[in-house]
Amino acid sequence: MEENQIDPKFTKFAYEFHTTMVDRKLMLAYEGEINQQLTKTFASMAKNTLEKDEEDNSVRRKVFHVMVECLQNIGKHTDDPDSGTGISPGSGIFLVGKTKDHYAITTGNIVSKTRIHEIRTLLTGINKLDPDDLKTLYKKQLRESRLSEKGGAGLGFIDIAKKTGQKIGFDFIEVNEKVDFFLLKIRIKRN
Amino acid sequence: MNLKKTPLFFKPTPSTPEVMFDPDRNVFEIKGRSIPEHALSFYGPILEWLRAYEEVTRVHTITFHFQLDYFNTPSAKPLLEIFRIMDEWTGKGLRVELLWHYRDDDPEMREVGEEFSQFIKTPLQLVPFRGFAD
Repeated sequence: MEENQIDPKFTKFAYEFHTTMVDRKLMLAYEGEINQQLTKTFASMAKNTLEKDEEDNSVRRKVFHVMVECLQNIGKHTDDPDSGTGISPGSGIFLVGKTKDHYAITTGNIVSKTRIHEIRTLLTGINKLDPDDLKTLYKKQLRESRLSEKGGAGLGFIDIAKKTGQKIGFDFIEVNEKVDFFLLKIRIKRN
Repeated sequence: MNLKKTPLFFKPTPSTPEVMFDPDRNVFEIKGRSIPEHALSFYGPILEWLRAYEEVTRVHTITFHFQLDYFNTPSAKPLLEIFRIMDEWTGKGLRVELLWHYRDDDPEMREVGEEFSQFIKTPLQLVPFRGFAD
């Protein structure tokens, strides 16, 4: 340890973290457990920031909507079995970026390999649909879903695509033989 | 049973809307933001109240106001269920007035109202109001 009490490696990390945030135009980065309290906190933070920036009402509502849906989607998996990674289910990363043209909401979390095919098929399918198809699919899912269901991820993704009018970005990275890291990126156009 | 005619009142919270079901005036209101994590734990008692209310009601006119600034997808199903219950009441000869209030700068919320109305036979009036985004 140096006389200034800080490990130089840590300073280097902090500086790189800072420049990465700036380069990638990130305004918020979070890692940890995602729960309802956090969802409310982030949603109202975003609301205040966007208000201060005098962002259009419709953009504000969309950002709020996507944040809530994405965070609650991760939070739903708190009861998933242990992944063997030391990362607790129901936790993940949450990033909010802002460029000249759009906001980008990114979430990343560990998912069981058994769910990957289903998620991939669902999102690939949604990304092929035009706005009218999305409306039809939304109504079909809403009509057919049961009241007792937790609110499957399906309806959330369809609603996000429908509201943002953008394709949903997604990717997987293998973590171990049981789980992958699932990345989801949603763009909201600024007017 | 008297119990069934007790008004239902929930104060608004950051995740759940204000609920005011007044059986004396037969005016029902759901107002605010609905983003509960577990939608059924919030809407379950509301749906139960409405189903129980139907058994005791002898009134002919009911007015139901929906004024949501925002709701998450898990809230959509219980909201649809409320509309279905209202539709059943209409089918039984009650006069049910359904009003969907939306901010005049929020065409998406108007559209959501239109979508709900396609699920039911009872007319849903779409009512714009002037308001600031909160």
